[in-house]
Amino acid sequence: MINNQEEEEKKEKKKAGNPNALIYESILLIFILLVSIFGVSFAVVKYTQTGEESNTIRTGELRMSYTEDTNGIKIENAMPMSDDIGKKLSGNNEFFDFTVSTTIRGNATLAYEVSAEKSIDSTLRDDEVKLYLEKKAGAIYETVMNPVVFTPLKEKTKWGTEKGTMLLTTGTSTHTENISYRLRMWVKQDAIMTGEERIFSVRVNLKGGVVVE
Amino acid sequence: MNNNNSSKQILLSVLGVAILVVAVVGVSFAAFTYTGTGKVENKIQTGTITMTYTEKEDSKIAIDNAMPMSDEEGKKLSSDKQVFDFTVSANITGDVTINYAIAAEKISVDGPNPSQLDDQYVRLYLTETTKLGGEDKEVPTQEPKAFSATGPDETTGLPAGEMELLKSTFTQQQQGNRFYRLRMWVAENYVVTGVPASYKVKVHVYGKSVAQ
Repeated sequence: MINNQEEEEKKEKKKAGNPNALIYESILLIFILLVSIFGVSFAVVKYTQTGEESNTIRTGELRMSYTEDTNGIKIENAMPMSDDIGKKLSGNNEFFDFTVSTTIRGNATLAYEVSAEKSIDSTLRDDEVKLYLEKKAGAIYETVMNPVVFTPLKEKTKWGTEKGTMLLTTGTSTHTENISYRLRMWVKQDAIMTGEERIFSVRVNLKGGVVVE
Repeated sequence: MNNNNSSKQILLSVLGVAILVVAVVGVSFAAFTYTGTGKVENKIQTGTITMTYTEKEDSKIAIDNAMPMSDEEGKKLSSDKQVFDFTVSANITGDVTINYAIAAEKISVDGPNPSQLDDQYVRLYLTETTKLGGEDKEVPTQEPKAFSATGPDETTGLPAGEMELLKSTFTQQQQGNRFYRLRMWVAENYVVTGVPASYKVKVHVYGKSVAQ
């Protein structure tokens, strides 16, 4: 009787004194769980048959790029003008053309945001300048943003367009394409001119990404 | 104590495996994003407009004991205190037109002889001095007229109640200094009475650029 007790005690001590065994058991259980989740089966009977067909997967392709097509807007001695005149500016360096290009092979949607980032040395006020954006559709340009004063974003957007820049337009693409835009900028009609030259300068940026459904 | 250590080790192991699973699964959902930063600077730089009105020092009309006179006589007034000289100037860079008006504002008469001469008995006459043939010549801008309020005028900013003496423009091609002279006299059809009467005006200049 005493021996049985001693043996039991020995077993208990062995169990308590060997914590690693418990760890190994836990890991094994988790592994089994994972294996069962991912559906790998351990056939008891081994069988081999070599296939002839090549089953291939090739990943799709996602690309986006931004190209500046013209030298940009460079207007000197600018005077206030009406929107009707501003929208028609067509001389050398009176408009800015750029292109958003997407390459999509596969089933995906790319979303993008075009924004104008104001230069810190601008001295004209935001409400003294109008911006106007068109998109090329065939041989003509269509309005995508009516003339509006520079309006900075109050917070950063989902795609990373920074607070303080102005969102000009957003878009999506589901296939490979080039989307061409034309930007114009002018001094608002009722801006007060003084004896001092003032400037307003912006750069156009693009942010975007794949839409995850 | 030993049991506590064992539990901790088990927990750490489970956590480690879970992190591994998340890392494996998570990598497969990495998102495509793009940033294109513009290099082209799109810039507009304004022109400048400066317009000034300057009254010639010590020049003003101050006629006492004025008697009625014909327009022909009045147009020839030239002595000190009989004419008021001033300059209107503009400095423009940029393609813009400025409409401006020279106006007379009637001022209430005060002082010991507060009687106001009626508008119809006063003549106002404005000339511009230009260089003709190398000499300064006065050119009439209009015939002598009685005071008559013609404002407001949106094109120049002339307010209501004032009389437009002249309306003209400045452009980048036609800017600089323009010299004017104002004369004022009692019309010849006024009948002098025993009650002296007075008439006062101030000259103002209003300008407004024409938006393209």
